[in-house]
Formats: sequence, C-alpha cells, structure tokens
Amino acid sequence: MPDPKSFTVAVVDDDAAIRRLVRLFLKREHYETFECTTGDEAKAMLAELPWDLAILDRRLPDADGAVLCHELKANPSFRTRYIIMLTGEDEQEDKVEGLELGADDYITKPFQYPELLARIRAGKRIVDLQKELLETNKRLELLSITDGLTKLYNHRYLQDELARAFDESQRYQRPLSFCLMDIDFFKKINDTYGHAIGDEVLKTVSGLFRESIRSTDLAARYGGEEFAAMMPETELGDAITFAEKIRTMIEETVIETQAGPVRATISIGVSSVPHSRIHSAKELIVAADKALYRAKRNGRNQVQAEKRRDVNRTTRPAA
Amino acid sequence: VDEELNELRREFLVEAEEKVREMQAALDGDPTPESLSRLAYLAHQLKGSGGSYGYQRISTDAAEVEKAAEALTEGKPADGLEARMQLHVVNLRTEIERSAKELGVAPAP
Repeated sequence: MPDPKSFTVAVVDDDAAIRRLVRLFLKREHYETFECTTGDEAKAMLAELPWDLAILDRRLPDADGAVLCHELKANPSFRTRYIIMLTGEDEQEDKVEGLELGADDYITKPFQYPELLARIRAGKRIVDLQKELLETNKRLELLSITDGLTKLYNHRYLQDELARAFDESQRYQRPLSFCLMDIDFFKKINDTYGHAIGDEVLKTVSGLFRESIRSTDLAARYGGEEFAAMMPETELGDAITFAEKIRTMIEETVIETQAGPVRATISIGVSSVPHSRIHSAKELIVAADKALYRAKRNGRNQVQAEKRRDVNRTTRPAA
Repeated sequence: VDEELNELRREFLVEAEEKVREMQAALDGDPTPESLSRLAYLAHQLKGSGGSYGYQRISTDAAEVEKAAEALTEGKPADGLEARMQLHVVNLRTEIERSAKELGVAPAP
C-alpha cells in the first residue's frame, strides 16, 4: 500500500526535456513521480500505478491529451484525481477544450516553475480534501452499521443483510441459517455486579462470538443481551454444530471483570431454510426466536433448533 | 547558483542543438510533407521547453518556425515563409550557442 501521506504526480509528455525539468522540481517538493511518454503508455501506467495528480501534455505523438483526459475522468475510480493540462501559450482553444473535457486546470508551455508548483499545490489541496471526505464517509458508514459497545453489526444492518441473503437463498435454492442467542440470567449479572460489569460481560461474549464465526457469516448485536448470526450456505446441521461450539466456549470461559471473575452461559435458537413453512427473513427470525424460547424453558445453556415435523409436507393429513 | 538546474540546462541545450541541426537539414533539402511535419514537431517541442528552461527567445523563435512549417504543410503560398523559417532557425542556433557558452558547455565538433 502506498503511504497515505505521499502524493504521486504522473507526468505525461513526449518531450524528455520537459519531463526532466518537471521531475527536478517535483523531487524538490518531495512529490512521488512517474513518467509516461505516449498516450498508450499513460493509459497502461495510470491504470496500474497509484497516482493523485497527472500533468498531461495536450499534444502527444499518438493521442490528443484532452481525449485521454476525458477517458480518465470517465473512469469512476479516477473521479477524485486531479488533471492539469499542458498547452501552448497561443493555443487558446486547447485550453477551453481541455477544461471542457474534464481537465481541472491548465498550465501553458513554456511554464514558469513557481506557477507550475503553485498549481500543483492547489490541486493537492483539492485531492487531499477529497481523500479526507472519502475517509470520513467510510468511517461514518461503518459507524452507522456498527453497535458501539460490542463493535458487532447493529440490528438494522442485520435486518437489511438478512433480507438480502434470504432473497438470494430463495433465488439460487441455497441453504441459509440463522442463530439467535441470549445470555442467560443477564439481568441477575447486572443486578449483582452493576451495569458496568454487565457491559464487560457483553463485550467478552461478543468478542468470543465474533472470533468464532466464519468470514462469510455475519455477527450482530440483536438487542440488549441478544446476539444473532447469519450463516449463508449453511445447512441446519452445521448451524447447530456451530451454535453448540459457541455455547460450550462461553460456558467454559471465565470472564475477567473489574469485579472479579464472572461466568455466563447462553441459550441459542437455530433456524434454517429450505423449510416448507419459512417464506421470509422475518419468518426465519421468528422460527429462531421460538427455538430460543424453548431452550430457555427447557433449562437454558443449550441449543434448540426450529421444529421440522413438517419438512417437505405442504398439506396436513385429514384429522 | 542552482547547479542541479544548470546541469539540466546543459543537457537541454545539447539536445536543442541537435534538434536545430535536424531542422536545418530539413530546410536544406527539398521540403516534403514528412520533413515539414517533423520540422513543425521539433519546433513545437523547443517552443514548449525553451522558455521553461528560462530561454524565452528560444520559445519565441521556435514558435515562428512551427507556425511557418504548419502554414507550408497546409499549402499556403510559400512567399517568404521559407526565408522566414531560415531566419528563425539561425536565431535559434545563435541563441543556443550563446546560452551554451554562458553555461560552459563544450561546443559541438
């Protein structure tokens, strides 16, 4: 990965004398640079190498720099890059056309290097701002789908992803499993040790949970002390095996808290499609919730799966 | 004194001298569309680079040569164009030689 603070300038010009001169000034300003001598070379290198700003000669031996500029700007992944067109002093039309075709700025040749550097700096300010904006957007996006305490995905994101995964499993006739888990007697932990310790337990349990799922699965905080796992391409039997594994792991873990070691157990309900009576993501959740309820009623610290008496049966026998 | 820049200037002047020599050769022969377009290309390069290296007069003369070569390519009446071109090529050579001497570039044999 390139250093995020470095700034790379691509110099596209067929004249070696211009490239050498620009290279010297850019080196003095500590910019990273690379050079292309033709339009074809520029197309290949700009697609391969990282760059932030390109100085593009309008007249290349094999290409019109303005057309090349237009092509570059049409590429969505180059939208935040900055392009400075190099044109002749007397080529007024070139300047206008270059800007119309997507150049961000232009410099006339012959150039004075203070102007060249000033225009590159102006371009860098804009590129830096855009980079910052992209970073912020990414951070905000992640924040909007993450649960603050546990760093698991939040309820809303799970709902969206489950709806999408459910549609996909129906369309391609692929299995999809869902686990709903709940920390047993969590209210008692909170009442005994206080909410700060309760939060520590939540963090440890969610950490174990996150580490034990596969990268294709999705772990979310479903509610207060409830967690959910979405497991695409997973049949009921494998989902139960996973649930049993995490249940055992939590049971065997001593959670170190400010108030000393605390132990916790979890109950898990598992549901899965294909299933003759589950036709939506919502019904998949309801089935897991019912199974979870049975796990609680049967004494907690256990895994229960949705009932499958009616698998592959679409009509009930006459009473 | 910017020695790094001066080194690039020397390199530029050596190359510029070669370009001007090639331009003169094109002028000495019978002009063909190819030789005229090559002449315009070389002049265009010197126009852009000369002033960038601090030699504004190289850019000015090269611009005149480019303009004349393009006019001839487009079939405009040659009236005085070739003579004008010759004049500016000589100017270019003089300017390059003078600048090279200033920077202590050994004259080409």
